[in-house]
Amino acid sequence: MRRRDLISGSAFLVLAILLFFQAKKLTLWGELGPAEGFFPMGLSLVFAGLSVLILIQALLKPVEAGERVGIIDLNRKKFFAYVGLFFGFGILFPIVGYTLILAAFLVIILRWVEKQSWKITILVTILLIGGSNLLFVGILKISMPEGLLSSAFSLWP
Amino acid sequence: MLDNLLLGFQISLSFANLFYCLVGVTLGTVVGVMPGLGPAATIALLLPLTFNMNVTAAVIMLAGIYYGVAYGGTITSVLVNIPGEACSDVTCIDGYQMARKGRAGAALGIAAFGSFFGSTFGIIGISLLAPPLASLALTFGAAEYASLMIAGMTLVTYLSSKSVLKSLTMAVLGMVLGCIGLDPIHGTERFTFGTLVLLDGINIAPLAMGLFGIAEVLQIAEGFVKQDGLVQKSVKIRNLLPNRQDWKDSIGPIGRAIPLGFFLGILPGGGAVMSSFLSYALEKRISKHPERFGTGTIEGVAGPETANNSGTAGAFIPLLTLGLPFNVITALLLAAFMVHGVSPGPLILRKHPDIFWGVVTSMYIGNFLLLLLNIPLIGLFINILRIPYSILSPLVAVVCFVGAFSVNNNATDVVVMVFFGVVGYLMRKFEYDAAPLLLAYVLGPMLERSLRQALIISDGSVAFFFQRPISAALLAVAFISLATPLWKWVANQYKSG
Repeated sequence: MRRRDLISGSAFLVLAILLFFQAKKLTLWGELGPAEGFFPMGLSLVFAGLSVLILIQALLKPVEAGERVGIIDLNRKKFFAYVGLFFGFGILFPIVGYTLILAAFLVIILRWVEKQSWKITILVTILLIGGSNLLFVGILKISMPEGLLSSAFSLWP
Repeated sequence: MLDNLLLGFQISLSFANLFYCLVGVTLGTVVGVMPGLGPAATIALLLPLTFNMNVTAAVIMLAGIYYGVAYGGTITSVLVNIPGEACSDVTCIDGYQMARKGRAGAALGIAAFGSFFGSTFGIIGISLLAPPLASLALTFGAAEYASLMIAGMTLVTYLSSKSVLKSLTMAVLGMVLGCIGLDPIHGTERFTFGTLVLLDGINIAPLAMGLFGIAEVLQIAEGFVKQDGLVQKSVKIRNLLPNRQDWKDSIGPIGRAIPLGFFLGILPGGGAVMSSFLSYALEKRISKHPERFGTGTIEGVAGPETANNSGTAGAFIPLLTLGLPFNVITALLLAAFMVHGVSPGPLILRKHPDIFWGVVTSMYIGNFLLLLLNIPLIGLFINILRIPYSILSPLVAVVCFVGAFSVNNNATDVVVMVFFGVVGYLMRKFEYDAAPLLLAYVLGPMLERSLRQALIISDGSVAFFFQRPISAALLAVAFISLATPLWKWVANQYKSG
């Protein structure tokens, strides 16, 4: 944990310095008393102080033999596939539309990332698309982006 | 009081509220059974979906998840020695040993009855204590509120985590996140870095879903949370009703656990987890046969299971009477109230007695439903463990996506949620607790407002906080909870040379 504390402490210190300079641009004290910069400035200073304490504590810790260096220790490929797909979902969601993006997302995750059979992939995808449309759109009345599917239907004579 | 309770039952027994209560407690039990997905993640997932609901129904459902989890966690603790939730950790010790001796039914039965008694007396405690506490809270000024929030946050970081330093850092980071957007008094942009996306601040739903839901899915994806062996273990449940001797042995622990759990639940950072551990420690200490603890004694199940449920009820007191959440779940419940334009606090009893008493009485009904659900449906709940994580993870992710999107009908919130999911994952890896961050995110803006108001009233004098007795006492609590770990650390460094 020593190495990880050093990394996180340093990252927090950089963030605290960045926040300090942002807070410095704001008014700290007005005619009536504390202004909009008072609390953020205080927070950035406390944050910097705590980051320094994390660094000191990490430096005083003895070096552990065999301490893991990496952050993602186990299945990196799967982890990055999930992160990529999640960001992809968020970005493409309004363009492609809910139903199509959900189908693509589930097929990729279940079939290629989780290595499920085609039978399970198709079954879960159909159930989840149907169930989520019924629950979110039908019952909870959430208006989902229709995207490409809506454009395709608008071209239908 | 009786009139208020009758009003509450009238509201909570309406068909819609009863239905949402049932949905909440069932979901809570399911979540409690599944190791991994916790109540915070589930409430965060469902929070945006309650935006279209009536406030009472929304809070009834979300509260049902909170207390339902404690029941569900017991099932896996006793049957497969895996606590579904942290509050059921201690139940594994004697509950699983009882199951190995063929007494799983008695363990689950006494846990269900103990939980029911714990919650019932907890709710009676809320009904009795909330009105006088709300009246007391009306005498609080800005200085008292600011000091109370400081004391609450420092106590939470002191009591609920292995590293106080890391928890404090997370609390400060949470308050920084709470500052993003427009200043609540002057409307000036803060920490937006010139981007329009951050102008409205960060919404609690994508933040909470990212930190708890997406982070959990990523940890499962990485293979950090294992499901191996869960489904292979055979489960035999017979005689769910405890016998006369079981009742005789359990009545004392249940009686002691009720007040212990309830008062610990009121404290910041207390709640269900600490209540269950302290109840177990207490029972072991006062027992004539402490050597039996750990070998399958029913006292080791009855006490902690009662305490964690009365602790859950106790945690509602600061939320409902002061408007201040002192754990992450009540912080999310506060968000649910505020989204609907209702501010819990001392005035809720006067302005919205229907909501207050409706929610309180629904807990009583919810606990009765849990008792009915738990005993006959244990076999069904245990089958939830058979759903592979490879199917469960995408399902949780989809609910997160829809939940984040539905906040503002904006896909940017989905990206923000995924970003905080990665942050939450890294926090787990670096052993930083997300709970103080979310709690401080909710309390931060309130603290800033009270702090600035108090300083304006006092012409900028900090001494004002120490001249008022309640405020001074609360700041002393904050100081002690910060100084104690620092003192211990310095002493350890000195000892080790």
